[in-house]
Amino acid sequence: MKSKNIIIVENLKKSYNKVVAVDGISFEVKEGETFGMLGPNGAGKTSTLEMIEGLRKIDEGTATIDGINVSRKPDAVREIVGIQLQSASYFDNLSVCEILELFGKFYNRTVNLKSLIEKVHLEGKEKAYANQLSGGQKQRLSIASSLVNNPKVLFLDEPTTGLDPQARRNLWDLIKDIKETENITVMLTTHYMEEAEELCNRVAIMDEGKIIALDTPDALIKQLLKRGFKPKKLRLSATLDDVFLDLTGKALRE
Amino acid sequence: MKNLSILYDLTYANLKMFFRDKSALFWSLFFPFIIIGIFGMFDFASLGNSNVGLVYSENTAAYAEPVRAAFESNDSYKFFTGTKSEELRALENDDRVVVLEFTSNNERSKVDVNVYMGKENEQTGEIITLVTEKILADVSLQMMHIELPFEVNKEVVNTNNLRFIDFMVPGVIALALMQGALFGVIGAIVGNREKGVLRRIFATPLPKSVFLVSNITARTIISLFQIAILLIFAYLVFKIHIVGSFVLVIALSVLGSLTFLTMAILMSGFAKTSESARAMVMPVQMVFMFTGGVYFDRSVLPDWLYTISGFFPLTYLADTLRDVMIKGETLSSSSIQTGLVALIVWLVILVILSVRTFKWEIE
Repeated sequence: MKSKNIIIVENLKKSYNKVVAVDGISFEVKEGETFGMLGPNGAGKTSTLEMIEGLRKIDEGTATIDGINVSRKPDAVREIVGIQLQSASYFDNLSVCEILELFGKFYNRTVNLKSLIEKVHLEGKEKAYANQLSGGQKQRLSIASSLVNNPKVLFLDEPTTGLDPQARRNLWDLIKDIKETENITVMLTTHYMEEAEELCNRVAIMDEGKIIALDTPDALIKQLLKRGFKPKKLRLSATLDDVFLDLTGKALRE
Repeated sequence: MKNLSILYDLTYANLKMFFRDKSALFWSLFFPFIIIGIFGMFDFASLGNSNVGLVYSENTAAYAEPVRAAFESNDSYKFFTGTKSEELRALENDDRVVVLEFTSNNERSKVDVNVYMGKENEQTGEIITLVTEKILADVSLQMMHIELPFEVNKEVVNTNNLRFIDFMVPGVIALALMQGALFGVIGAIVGNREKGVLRRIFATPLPKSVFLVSNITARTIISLFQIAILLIFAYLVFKIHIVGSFVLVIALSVLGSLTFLTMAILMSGFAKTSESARAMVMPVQMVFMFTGGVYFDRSVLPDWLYTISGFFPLTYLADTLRDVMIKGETLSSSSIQTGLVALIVWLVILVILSVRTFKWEIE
């Protein structure tokens, strides 16, 4: 993995009506890695992400993506990033193909629809309207729409929240596929530790607007064990998730 | 150039979305029809009743019949005959404007004509009395074989012959333009903002101006389409024809549409939800509609309201459209020039304000 830092965040701050949401955080994301932001609700994950994306005004501090200062040149940043928003929605009454084509136009690009639709496994849904898609399909459309400009950095904000275990696993495979085929950096937020372990090279754990830990998942677990952590009950080598998937099958239900 | 091509694609997409939304399509296209259809069927001439009661006997029929015949040749009056008590009761119940009683006065071997009228109908009563006197005078002269030394010739010439429906159609066009703009924008902008569609677009490099202009263009095309159908309907069913320039009607419609669209965009900057946007739009459109001379002439308004409503964009639009469509006025007429300039001033002010206040999201 190359060691170039594609995202550099320095002392980022954000408050809403005097309530501090992001409290002076700094970190870097390396080119090509998948970087996870973990933390409870209200920890400031989404605010951080949206400031880096240029969707939310930065109160203090700086964020740069590929050397471009986000607050100074938000338009230049938009050209090179793909953004999947938390609970995003698309136009009603436009088909999957029409939406993707239109988003391509927003970047002044012609989209290779066939390969994009194959990439996100939406074959057979080309003519379906966005409001007729299942939750998992909607998220895949959302990811496809954020790939129309072949971005250098892909932001995923809680990509699997609200999906059933089958759809969640399906989306993990999809994200891994995209990572393998494109030279893309992924920054995601999640509530699911399993998801972070599965996808992320490094994770930052946020709480009350601050980053309280940042390392690879393995290193974080080892540090915990070093501190003398003992699990409350004996860990089994399978989880309830595994039981569920074994019983209901891995096939997608949609 | 780049933005023009995006503009074209986004406008096309907006049109597709509109025509695929069947319920919106139905309401926006058929609402004006319902209005025109209903008002077109109203017979306003019958609103003020002009029923005349006649009371006469065989002895006085020679005088009463010619009066009746003379009035009946004019569609404005309907005649009823009955006994005196029946007719007077009808008069009391406001079913008659006037009751004429022809009685023979044996003492003077003459016929007495008694005219009964309600206080509120004195004017009509006077007219009917005068006409009756005239007819009776003619009848008497004829009976005496006296020839009048003069003759009055009447000739009917073609005038604009305005019907209520002719007055209505330009107003309904203006109204449809306003409603299409106000409610269309709520769906396209406030609704999509509420659902998070606009946030997603905001995450792309699409300029705000291209987004707004494409919405305005699409909506204007839809409005023109709507007006075309409306005019065809009004022509086929009510035989409405445009006296003035068709091109001017279209130009005014486009200008009006742009004005109301920018007004709607301005309002959308203050509404977080579709619900609140609707609540904001309703009073505005009600005031414009009832004071803008859409359904009735503004001269019935009290002076202060007449003056204020004269500055509303809907008033300018309805008035100029009416002047062109039924009076055939052209660009050289000062009322058209005033209307055009006023609408352009409104448009410019609204564009400046709406571009400043438009937000992809309201926090």
